[in-house]
Order: sequence, then C-alpha cells, then structure tokens
Amino acid sequence: MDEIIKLSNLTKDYGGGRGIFDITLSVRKGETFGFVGTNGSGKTTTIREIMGFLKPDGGAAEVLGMNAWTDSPEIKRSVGYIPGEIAFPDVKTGTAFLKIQAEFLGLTDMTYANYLIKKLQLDPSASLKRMSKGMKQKTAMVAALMGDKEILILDEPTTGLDPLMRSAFMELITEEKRKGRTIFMSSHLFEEIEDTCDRVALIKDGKLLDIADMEKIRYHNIKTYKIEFNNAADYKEFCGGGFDTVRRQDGHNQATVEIDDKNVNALFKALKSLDVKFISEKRYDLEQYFNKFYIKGEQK
Amino acid sequence: MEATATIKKKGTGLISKPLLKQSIKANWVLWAISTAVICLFAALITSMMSSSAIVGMLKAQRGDNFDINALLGNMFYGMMGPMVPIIYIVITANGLVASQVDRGSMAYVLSTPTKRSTVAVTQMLYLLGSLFVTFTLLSIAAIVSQAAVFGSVAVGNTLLMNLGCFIEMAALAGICYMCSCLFSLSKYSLGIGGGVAVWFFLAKMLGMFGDPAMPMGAEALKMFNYTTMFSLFDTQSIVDGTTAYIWKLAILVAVAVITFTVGIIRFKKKDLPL
Repeated sequence: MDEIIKLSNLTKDYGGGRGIFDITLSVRKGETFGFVGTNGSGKTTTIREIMGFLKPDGGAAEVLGMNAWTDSPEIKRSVGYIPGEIAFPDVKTGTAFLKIQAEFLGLTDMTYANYLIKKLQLDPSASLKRMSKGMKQKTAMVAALMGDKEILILDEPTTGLDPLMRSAFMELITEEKRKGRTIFMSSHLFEEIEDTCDRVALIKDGKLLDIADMEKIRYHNIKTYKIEFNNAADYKEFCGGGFDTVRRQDGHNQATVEIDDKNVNALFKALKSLDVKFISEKRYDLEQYFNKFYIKGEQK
Repeated sequence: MEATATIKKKGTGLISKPLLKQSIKANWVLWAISTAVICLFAALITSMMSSSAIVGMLKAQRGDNFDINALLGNMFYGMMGPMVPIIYIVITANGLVASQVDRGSMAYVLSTPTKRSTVAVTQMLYLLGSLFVTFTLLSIAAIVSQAAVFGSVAVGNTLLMNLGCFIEMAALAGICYMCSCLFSLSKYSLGIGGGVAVWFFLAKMLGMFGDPAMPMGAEALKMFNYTTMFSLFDTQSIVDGTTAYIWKLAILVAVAVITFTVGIIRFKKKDLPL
C-alpha cells in the first residue's frame, strides 16, 4: 500500500465559514508531508480528523487503508502524535509521564526513549508543572517518538523551541525520514517545512489551495536576479534588452529580472558591456511560491 | 511478534491498567482526605451520642435491641454524612473526563491504541471503586466505634445504611460522570454536575425541616422531598425494618446504570478537541 494517509473530500463544518472543507490529499509511504497555513486556517482540525478525534461531516480520512474515525484505536498502533496544545496528564514529573505513556504503548524497552532524551537535552526528572514551554514540548516529542512508529503526526512540533533545539529536533525528523517513516507535519513557519518536507500543502480558510513539490521549488529553473547599475544610461540600455523585468526602480538604477536557467548566458553577455554595481540572486522559496495564493485570496 | 500480541491485548481490553493507575495517582489525595473525614465524622458522632438523653431513653426502652442507626441513620447517613463524598464525586467526576478533554491531556491516552470505550469504562470503574472502598471503610469505622461506645453493634442495619448510602452516591456519581462525558468544557461539566448535587443536598435538608417530628412548624417544606433524588435513600424504612427502602434503592441503581451508560456511549461518539 502506497498511500499511508488519504483524505478524500474531508469536511468538518463548524458553521460561520469555520472548519475545513473538501480537503483531498494523500501522503505516500516514506514521504514527509508539510501542512502550512496561518493560525485558524484548519491545520489542527485536519490533524484531529486524521487522529480520529473528530467525526467528519463529509468525506473521509483514511490511514493505512483504515477509516480514521471508526478504526482509530487500530490505527494508533502505527502512529506517534504530538498535539498542538501541550497539556500533560496530572502526574508529577516528566519521567513519570513518559513511564505511564510507555505502559499505554506496551513499551518495555526504553533505550530509544533514553536516546531521544539525550538528543534533545531533556531533563525529564523535572516537575511537569514547573517545566518551561520548550521543555514541555521536548517531553511531548519524546512521548511521540519513543514508540518508534511507522507514521508520525506532528501538530506544530517546534513551537516554543529555541533555534538550537529546533535544529536538534529537525535532525531527529531527518533521522526518522531516513528510516522510511511517513511524516505529516503542520507548521506556520515556512523555513522549517521547506528544509524537511518532500511536499507541502497550503491551507487557507479551511480550503486546500495547493500542494507544492519541494523538489520543484528547490530546483526551480526560473531564477530571479536583482541588478543595480552604476549609471542611468547602462540601466536604461539593460531595460531595453528584452529581458523579463518584473520590477524597475528607476531612482536606484535597479532592475529585477526573471531568467530561465537556459538563458542565463544571454544575461551575462548583455551585462558584459555594462557597468554593473552588484548582482544578487533572490532565492525562490516556498513563501514566494505560496504568495500568489495569498494575494489572490485577498483580492477576492 | 510477541510484543505486538501484548499491545493488542492492552488496546482491546475493557479496562486500561495504566489509565487506572494514572487515575488513582491523580485522585488519591482527595479520596484519602474525604474518606478519612467521613470516617472520623461517623466515629465522633457515635461517641457524642453516648451521653445524649435520647440514647439513654432508647436504651432503657429497647435494652439489648438498641440500634444507634435509629439516630445515626437519619442524621448521619441521610443528611450530613454524604456531604463529604458529594464534594469528592463532583470534583473527581469532572477530573476523570471533562477536565482532561478541556485541557487536552486526554490526547496522550487516545494517541495510544487505547479505545475510547476502554477509557470511559476505566474511569467509571475508578469512580465507583473508590466510592465502594470509602463506604467499606466507613462501615468498619461505624461498627468499631459503635462497639467501643455502646458495647453492642447492629451490624445488619449498619451495613444496610452504608450500602444504601453507597448506592445513593453511585447514582449521583453517574449523573456527574454523565455531565463529564457530555461536555467538553470543565465549566459546564462542573457547573451542571455540581449544581445538581448541591440542589439534591439542599432540598433534602429543607425537606427534613418540614418533617412533622421536627419542632419547626414548617411542614410546607416537606414538598422539597419530592425534588431531590436523595429522598430515595429511605433511612427510616431501614430502621423500621420495612421493605420500602428496597424499591427506592432499586430506582437509584437504575439511575446509576442509565447515567453511566449514557455517559460512556456519548464519550465514544463525540468530537474531542484534542
């Protein structure tokens, strides 16, 4: 079976335009799937549907070919989950929590859990109530990963982590990825999704706008260059050169052009005779890719 | 393969051992305090009665057949005694389900292969089990203190009083537990469950003031007896040796069965914001 998670026309209508509507997507085995959108766009609702916490109003969510609502306990044998909100059960320390969680999972070997604790530099003996947000998040991560499950569902897993810990966590995710795990991860931060995910879905107001292939974004063949000239004459000559100019700043003698990789030599030939002050490439990233949807959305 | 087999067993069972353990750990302090208080309360009242005039009268009248439950039944089991377990029930029933859904900590249980029905049944079992132990200990405390103070014990009636009070509390626990399963917000679960409990308790007290035997002259207050489920625990009938208490307790048992069942079914089917 290749489709690990499959959402077909999944709908949860909370009324007043809130909820998720007609979400259709599938996550393949071994894929890291990102799920981005602003706060309140429906990321968490979608994840709760996959976890079987919410009953769909329409459509269905399937995990490993099983219905997410009716076969939820069966599905959980293969799923590790980090909830979006961190609220632990009423136990004293992180260690006690992890121990009880291991019991729920039927886990007796804590070697992997201890490895994770070390990797995240977590001190689980601290009182859960006194833990900082970051420490709580780390504890939740250990709880989700220690079962070494086939599928990981992570709802904004890096919230509350400092940049150093964020990269430690990202390393863990990359490790899981290498093991062939299927990962479904939501975030409102484009960068972290960009670095780890194979495909990224954009959700806005409960609707799926697009699914981007990161490979295509990373190796985008149309590049954007910003060029500034030392004098207005050269600047004007360049602008008349037939390049696809997306932005002109006459006051600064700056032009921003989009060039396909196969035409890049033409650009350099044109620049050869001109007095260039600087040239810089603007990286094409997920944010840029998705920007068009946001702008389109606002115009509506 | 063996490991998967054990996991399977754990996931599909009717009760979850780790959850039961977690519930005990989270609630034992309140349970211990309320149980200690009610046992102490029973013992204190029994010992104070020894010097009261009514007891002297009863003793003279009945001799060896003297039963302290004639007094203790209405005053303690019928009235003040349940107050402590009521508080325990209201807080604990909310904490076992609604508060965990409200706070989101239920996510950690339900992200494991534990079924929702297993969670609901386990939590019910903890609530009923803890109350059962409370009343078992209370029975022991009552019997021991009666023996120490009066030298004679009406074992049968004392056990009936405790059983009746336990059933009454189980019915209330059912109502509070149902609220806990119906609502995903603590404030509604606590507000409605607690509100019902307080009403039952106050109405019973007001109803008692309307008792013709009370020197209040406010017989109209008797109507409050019809507004409280606690009237179905008929302590007078137990003391008098009539059978009216049996069908009344049967109704309370039915209330408990229905409310717990509704709660469990609802919890299985509802949306959980986890």
